[in-house]
Amino acid sequence: MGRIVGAFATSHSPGITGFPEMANEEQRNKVYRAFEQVRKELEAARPDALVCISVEHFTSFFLNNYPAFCIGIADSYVGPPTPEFERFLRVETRTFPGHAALGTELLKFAYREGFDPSFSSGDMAFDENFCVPFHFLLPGDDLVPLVPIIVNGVQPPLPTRRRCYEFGRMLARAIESQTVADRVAILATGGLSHWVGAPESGQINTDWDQRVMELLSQGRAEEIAEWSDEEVEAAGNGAEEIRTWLMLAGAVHGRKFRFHAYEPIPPWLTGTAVASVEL
Amino acid sequence: MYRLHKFLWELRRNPELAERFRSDPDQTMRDYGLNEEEIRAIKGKEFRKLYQAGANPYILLFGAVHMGVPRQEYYERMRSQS
Repeated sequence: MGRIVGAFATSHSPGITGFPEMANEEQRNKVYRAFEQVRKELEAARPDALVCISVEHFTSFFLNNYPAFCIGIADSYVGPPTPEFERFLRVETRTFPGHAALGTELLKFAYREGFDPSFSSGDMAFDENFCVPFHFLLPGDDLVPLVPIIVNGVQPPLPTRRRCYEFGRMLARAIESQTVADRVAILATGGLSHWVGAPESGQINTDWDQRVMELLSQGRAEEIAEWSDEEVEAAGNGAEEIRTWLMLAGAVHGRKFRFHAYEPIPPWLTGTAVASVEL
Repeated sequence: MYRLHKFLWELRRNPELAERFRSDPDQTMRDYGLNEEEIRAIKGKEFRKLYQAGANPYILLFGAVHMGVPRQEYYERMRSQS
């Protein structure tokens, strides 16, 4: 039977790796130290597989058929997908191993439980969603096999935050019920407040970020799942990525998040946060 | 709006299309079924107008970058155009 041995959440702003020099040095170093802390905790958890949850920014999927949720069941994933993207993020393109067997088990469990994610058995490329955090968290060549899960946080209509939380709760049961990976870690990436491609870009809603972090720190993420659309829109289109954190929070239902860093960094356009869950 | 999104999305994925766009923007966009208003807005880099008309800001930003507009200019235009 599988069990969750680590649970982490981080922002994934392209600036973190792509234009670090634009940030204040002290803030940047706090963020980097926090990533290093998570890297150590992830390594100490010795996972057999890493379930990584994020949005994707039209790198693999398009509006002709955009999934609300998609589970990766491929043997491998590439990211960043192009030399231009590589230069933009300033991270080298790598091929990441996929845990196809675990992905398939999670997918089948989801269907049995009344969830209907799509699946991807190839050509799902990673953009900043995973390439930015993996630059810090998976620096070596000995890579843990991945099961990426994508949620739509980029083009309305979006799946409800309540559904994301429930998806996370189902995900925990799925991990516990399968036998192909004993030790499973989960990483969610996205948020916190930010605007991408919009007139407000560069603004950060620190009050909103603080409310989110307070509830997560108290194990009360479920309350965020009940917030109105307006309450989340007040923190920008990028704040819709809070869905990824809620999926993680659902999987560790009621557990408390511990924040290693929170830095509002306008040149990175993002309220930048890095956290672990107390399991 | 779907056709505009599709055009901008493919611009990012297809270097040949980006090249064709640079040499003959009008015809390339017409081939994608964009209407004259959309074509004018793209040529005039009226990103704010397209955003206000419902263009997805991620697709718009990435499309702009692949049209050769630097991120900084994209954001300046997004903030300043009326």
